[in-house]
Amino acid sequence: MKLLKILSTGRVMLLLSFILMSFIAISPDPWASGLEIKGIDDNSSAKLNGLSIGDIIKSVGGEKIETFDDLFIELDSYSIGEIVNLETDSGSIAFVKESDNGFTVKELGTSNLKKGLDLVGGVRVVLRPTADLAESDIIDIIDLLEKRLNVFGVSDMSIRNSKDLEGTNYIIIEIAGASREEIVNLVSKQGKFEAKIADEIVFRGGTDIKSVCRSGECSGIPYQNGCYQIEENQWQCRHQFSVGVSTESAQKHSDITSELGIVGGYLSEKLDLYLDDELVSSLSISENLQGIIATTFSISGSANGLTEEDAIVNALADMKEMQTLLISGSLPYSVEIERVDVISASLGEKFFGEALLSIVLAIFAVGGVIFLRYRNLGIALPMIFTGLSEVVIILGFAALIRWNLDLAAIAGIIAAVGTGVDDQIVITDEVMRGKSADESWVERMKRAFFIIFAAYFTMIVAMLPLWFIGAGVLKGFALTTIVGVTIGVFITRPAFAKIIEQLNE
Amino acid sequence: MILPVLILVVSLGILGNNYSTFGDFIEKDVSLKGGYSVTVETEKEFSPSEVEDMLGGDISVKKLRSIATGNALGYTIEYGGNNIDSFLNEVEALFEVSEYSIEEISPAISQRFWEGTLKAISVAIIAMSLVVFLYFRKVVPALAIVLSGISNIIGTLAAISLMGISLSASGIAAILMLLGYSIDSNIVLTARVMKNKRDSLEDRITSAVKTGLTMSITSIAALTVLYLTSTAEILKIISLTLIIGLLLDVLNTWIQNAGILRLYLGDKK
Repeated sequence: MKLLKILSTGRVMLLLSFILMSFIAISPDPWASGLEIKGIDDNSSAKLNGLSIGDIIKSVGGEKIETFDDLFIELDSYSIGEIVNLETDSGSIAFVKESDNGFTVKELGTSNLKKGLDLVGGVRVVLRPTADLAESDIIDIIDLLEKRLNVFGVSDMSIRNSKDLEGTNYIIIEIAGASREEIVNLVSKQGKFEAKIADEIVFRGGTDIKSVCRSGECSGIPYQNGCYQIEENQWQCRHQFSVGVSTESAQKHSDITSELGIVGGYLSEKLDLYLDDELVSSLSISENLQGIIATTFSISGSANGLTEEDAIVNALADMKEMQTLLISGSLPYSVEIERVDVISASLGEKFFGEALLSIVLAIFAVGGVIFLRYRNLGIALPMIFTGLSEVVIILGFAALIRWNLDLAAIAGIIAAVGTGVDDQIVITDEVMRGKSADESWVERMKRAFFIIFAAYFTMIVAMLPLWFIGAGVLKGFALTTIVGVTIGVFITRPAFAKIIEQLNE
Repeated sequence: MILPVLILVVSLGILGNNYSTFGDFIEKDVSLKGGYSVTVETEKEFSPSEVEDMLGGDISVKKLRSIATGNALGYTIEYGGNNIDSFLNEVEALFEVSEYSIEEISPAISQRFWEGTLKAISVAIIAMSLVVFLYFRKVVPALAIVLSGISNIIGTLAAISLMGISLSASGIAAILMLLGYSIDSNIVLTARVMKNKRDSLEDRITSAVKTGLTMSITSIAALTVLYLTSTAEILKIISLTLIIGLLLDVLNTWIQNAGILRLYLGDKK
């Protein structure tokens, strides 16, 4: 009867409905398995035949798919040009197998909680523009970086702007599961590409480039003379790929070359390729190209390695980077790397579950101390319940606004639940003390919440400045703490007061 | 009253000594001074000094251990040199790993972060003082609360420095949390003493001490569990800093601040 009475009070019902809503927002599904489409190329056969982002793959060619290995073993068994039958949760589609699958997948999450980079592993780069820029310039840089990463084949990333107290702008890029070198090179280069003959620009990267060949027929390492050994343990490989340029650039080529002399079958000046004002290669121009309106150019570069294999891998990586920079064009301003974090995935995975378990254990430890102090389960159990519900509601809120939970956010949960316990002790003491002094409930609560609100406001004003420092490193901490104590003060702690009042009447 | 003042003076002495010996009042880790920090996950057993000897150069090593078994979980190595690629090769060879975490922080951003942090803490203290003053509308009790919060931070920083722990970004989060907790317990004391006019001063202080000590003991118990069960560096640092800070807070609130209030209210009578 007592229980029913407690459950039917407004405050407790509010708390219960928040817990329920949090569970809906988190929608935990520990048994979820399968692969979800994360990214899809625009011109891929799969896209043209109706596959879209968010589809969940059920089977390929009748074989059930549950893991990455299942999918790739199955897809690799088809040769290029064959028809693949794919079953997804939204129907079945058939597409032509291409050299590249044309889509990327991720494992289905077991809940709507998004884990931050330090819990899933990946690369975080903090960039600072070298000049003072307006908001709109920063957005331009972000758009370009996003395009560049997309071209490179990264679809799951977060790029955002952050400003510190001095007004310095930072650009923060987070990519799950990427490796350090390729990303750092790609985002830190301004990517200003210029092709010059006799110091006159023929074409630039970005706008002048109409197409960049990335297929095997017109890009790669030449079969003949592609690689050679420079000395012991030092190999060099050359890569090349063709690009199509605008008609203005083609005309410029014609104008410049018609005035050049001829030396031994080649023009007297070379085609010099510059990346960020550094000469990357210098190509001789055959005499029969003189004065021609050329719309296709061959671009090349080279890379070294300890073995021939190493040199090939490095040359191909170099080629991919150059192609990406050529397609996406140059950043309007140069940027500098301020901070790079690489987080290994296996370390991160462990932290999340472990941290949540630690918090739960800590709440039970609090319950133990409280029981020893008051010798009353009617106080200790509601205290544990309130602590746990604060954790659930904070997580629910995080799931709802798609907030990335990182270790700093978990520290914030601890701070919020910790002040929660303090507040509940204040409430308990007021309730128990007031009972003996025979004061009205309202009177007692007024006193308790006078203290609670003082603590609440001081906590909030202490957390707000944190929001703005260090390129947002502690933003997650500040946000979770603020959200957590707000939920506590307005929802869980009033309910706690009601519960212990009823239980200890 | 003498003990908290003594601790404050000694703490200031420690921080001041730090300042005169290495130019800053507390040692900072890579997240605040710039450099590299590499975390390797491995079960290979070495002592930190063995790792320092084997890798050589300008490094400091911390070992991560499992609380349940005491076995090695991994190592965090801070590297101050400038040839990170060859250093990583050595790390890979020593621990036979290919996957690890790296933090790479430019001295410029860490400098700005540090300046920002000092500002953030100052802003936080000023804003908290304002809130406390608006709440109690009495200068002396409000100042006593703020004084207690500040002595708490100073004492904790000194204790951390004595234990040879360098201050990190997570340590700063802990310091701000501590500021919140310490103001909490002081508000309980001040509110009980100032708002309740019925009981005697001593009774009011005793009732506040009871509530406040329960708050501190539960927090310390929870943080001890957190410290023992977590392996993530950030959680360990935060819990350890808070445990030290809360112990100091017991002195600062219930001896120093209670003493000030006793004098203040006693004078008025």
